[in-house]
Amino acid sequence: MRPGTLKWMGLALFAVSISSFLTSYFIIGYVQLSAVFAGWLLLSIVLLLVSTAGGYAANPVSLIQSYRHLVRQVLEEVGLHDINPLFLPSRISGFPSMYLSLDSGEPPENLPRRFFIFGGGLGVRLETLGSYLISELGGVGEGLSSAEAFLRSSLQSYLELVRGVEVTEAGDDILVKVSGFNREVVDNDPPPVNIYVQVTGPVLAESLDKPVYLRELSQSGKHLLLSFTTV
Amino acid sequence: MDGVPRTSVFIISLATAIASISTILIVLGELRLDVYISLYILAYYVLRALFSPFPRAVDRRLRVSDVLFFIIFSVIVAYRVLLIIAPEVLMEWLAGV
Repeated sequence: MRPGTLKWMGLALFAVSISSFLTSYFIIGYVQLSAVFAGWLLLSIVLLLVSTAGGYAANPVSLIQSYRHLVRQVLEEVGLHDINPLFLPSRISGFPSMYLSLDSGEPPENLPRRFFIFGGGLGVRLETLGSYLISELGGVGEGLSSAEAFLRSSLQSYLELVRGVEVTEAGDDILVKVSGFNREVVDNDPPPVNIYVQVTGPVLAESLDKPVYLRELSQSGKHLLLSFTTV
Repeated sequence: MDGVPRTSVFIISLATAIASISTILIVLGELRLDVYISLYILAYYVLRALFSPFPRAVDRRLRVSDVLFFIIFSVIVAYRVLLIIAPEVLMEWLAGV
């Protein structure tokens, strides 16, 4: 159903319920009937507010598939599709981002926004789906527990792409176990294109306020295992 | 509920909760309108918390109803408290209105 239709339905329900409520309470004087109309009134207010926000989005899986396809094509074009990405927090780069360069050194300061020449090769610094989710859902708190809570709320509740997320620390490494991941949005993607890497990396970098490097991405049955290390 | 937007599930759940609350209270013979309204509002807040996070645009709109329902709930609570601690003051106010 289109949001416009819902708005008119909400408006109609609001008009009917408010007039019925006033009539049943002040003219007929029947409290139970008034209570039912009060319930309709409350529901119509919520329906009106939600429908005017246009909150009925398309299926996220198809949108993510087209987004992945686009990212993959761009990175393949510049030969950066098969290297492990470095994720930068907003303190360093102005916004949480994914940094890809054939040069293994630290990223230079004051990086240009998207493409740049660095160390004799082309490099890119991009906002990912994770950067967008951080801004959309109101930021990440400090520490790994906040990162885990954010990943659960974004990947599990908001996008409904996983059954569970666990973040643990093992020495210098940060291990992320993604359970019940959606295979439709992965499809043998290299690390910088993998949607779970793109979401997890910026969230970890932002919560630790340090650059985070993806060491390894592997799959074990229904789980996706991501190993990061801080730089 | 795969494939159904969370916002739709929230609205359907709210409609179900409101219908259930009114049916149960009518069967119990409840005659105080404020009891019905406060329970509707309570159901709204519980479902709002259960289905969060919503998309940012929806969340921003729902803040309007959050504030509106909180004010209504506060008025109901204040009315009930006044009815217990100072009923004569309340009667004077209502007589004035």
